[in-house]
This record gives sequence, structure tokens and C-alpha cells, in this order.
Amino acid sequence: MLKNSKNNLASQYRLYGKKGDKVLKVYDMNKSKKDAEIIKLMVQKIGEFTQNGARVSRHCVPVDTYKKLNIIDIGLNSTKAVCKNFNASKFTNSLKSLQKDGYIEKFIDETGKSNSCWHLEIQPNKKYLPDYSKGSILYPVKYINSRTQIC
Amino acid sequence: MLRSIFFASLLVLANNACAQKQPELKCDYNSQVITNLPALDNARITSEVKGIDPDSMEKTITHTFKFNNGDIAVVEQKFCLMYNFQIVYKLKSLSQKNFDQGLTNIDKLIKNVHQDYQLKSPLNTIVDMTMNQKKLSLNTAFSYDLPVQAIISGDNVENNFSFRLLNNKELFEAEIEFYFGLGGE
Repeated sequence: MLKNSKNNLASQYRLYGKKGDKVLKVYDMNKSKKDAEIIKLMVQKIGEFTQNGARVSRHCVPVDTYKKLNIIDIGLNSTKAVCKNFNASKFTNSLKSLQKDGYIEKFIDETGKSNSCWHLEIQPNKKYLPDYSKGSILYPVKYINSRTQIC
Repeated sequence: MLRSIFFASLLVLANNACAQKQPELKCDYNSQVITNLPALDNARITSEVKGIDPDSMEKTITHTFKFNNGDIAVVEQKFCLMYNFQIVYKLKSLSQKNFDQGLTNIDKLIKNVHQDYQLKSPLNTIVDMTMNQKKLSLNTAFSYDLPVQAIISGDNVENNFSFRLLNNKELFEAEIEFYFGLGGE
């Protein structure tokens, strides 16, 4: 957040909601200070929100909370870059299927937005993962290229 | 003579370059925002102001509603990569009944912006339940995030509900602030 704010503060204000904006304000008011000091102040502000049960970002949570719910964004462009013959809509369908089957708690397709990513929230070990059978979590790769591999 | 024409041309070109507009921001929500909010059966719109947020350069549109009972609501929609909806609702006189009425009015305003944000129950039911859970009362200020289970949306949602008593009781006795943001980080 600090690195991105230094690079383009206005774009960070556009990316975060009300609480994130307050953390960015802390950066803005203290940007002449040393990084370590700014980070301390920003973390302090985030901590204030966390104490009241509020989050600055869905990705910004204490480790213990993250262990209960993994929240990740998979970038469309970075995935395309390593995957030959990659089909984004087939991958999206496979994620939808995993959500329907209960492996993914929340799925947001943000590939058409500026974020250009798939947002996933997964509760670890919620469901048993059978390997390479019809009931497998890997089965939805059929949506990708009709073979049991993604790329 | 030729030299002066050359320099004059350069000056015109330079001025044109300076006069060019900043490139338009790439925004996901520009086309999805209703800028002409309708009046309510118990309130009229007293002002509508369009602007640009100085920190983010996002577009803003702010409507002020004056209710028949003297309450005022300032509704700000700010949008680009995210859609931000904020209401500052000022209660002319504070009582449980007026507080509930204020929440009903906020509910109507939320519905009027037609975004991918829907409360599963009326706002006053959700607030009443969460205030009881958190043992909060209208005697002191408070602020908390509404539970995610109370909201239906296909997008990332951030939301917050705040209440505070105002010092200048001659004008308004209390203030409710309601916010939801869609998209973003």
C-alpha cells in the first residue's frame, strides 16, 4: 500500500473504499517521514478498524483470520502469460462450478473490470478433496481444454 | 519575417498542447450510475452538485434531500473503479421513532440508486438487531460494519454504519452516516 501510494496516490484513493482512504490519508499527512515510521502509523490506523471488527480491504486481515478464510485474487494477465492456449471463459466456468460444489465460498469475476482478476474466498479444509476422479476438485478442468491439465 | 512566423507557430502549438484536456480516467462504474435521483414521497431535492474528488479525481454527484419532518440527507455518489455511496442523515429531533424513520428513509435512498447492493431485511431491522448484539444505544456515538450476511451483492462490498450526537442541538440533534462501496480492493 505504501509502495503503491508513493507511485500514484490518486489511483490508490480510487481503488480503496472509505476505510482504505483514511489509511491513505495517514500516508498523505506523513509522507515526509521515514518509511518505517509511515508504515507504523498506517498499521496503527488499520489496527483501529480491525479492533472495531472492520476491514480496510478483504485482503488485509490478521494471519489467524486468513487461516480461516483464504482470500486471493488470480490475475488474468499473469495467468495468460504462463498458460498456452488459455481460455479465460472456460476457467471462469470452472471456478463457478467449484463455487456451486461448495469448494469456493465467494467468487467474483472481475476479469472485465480494471482489476482484471478472479477474486476467490476459500475456507480451507471445508470439503474433502478426492484426487483425479469424477468427484475431484480437479474435474472442472474439463471446462478448460478437455484434458486434465490447465495449460 | 519567416523566423517570426516560425516562432509564432511554435507558440500556438505549445499553447494548444497545454490546453489539451487530461486523459479521461478508465472507470468501471461511469455508465452504471444514476445521476438523476427521484424525489421521495416525503422529501424534496433541494440541491444537486456534480464535482470531482480532489484526492482521487473520481466523479461525484451530491444530492441534498429535505424531509417533511425537518430531517436532511446528503447523498454522495463517488465512482470510477469503485462505486461509493454515502448518506449523511441529520435528525432534527432524536427519538427512537425518528431514528427508525430515518433508517426507513435511508432504505428508500439506497434502493433508488439501483446498484448491485441489496439488504436482505429492512435497514432498521438490521440496525436494531446489530445494535442489540453490540449492546449499543442512542445515548453515545458508535460505528461498525454491517454484517456481510445481511447483504446480497455479486461484487466486493464494504459498508459501514455510524451514529453520533451533535453538539449544536438547535439545528440537528443527531447524525446517521451510512456507507457502502462496491468493487475495489
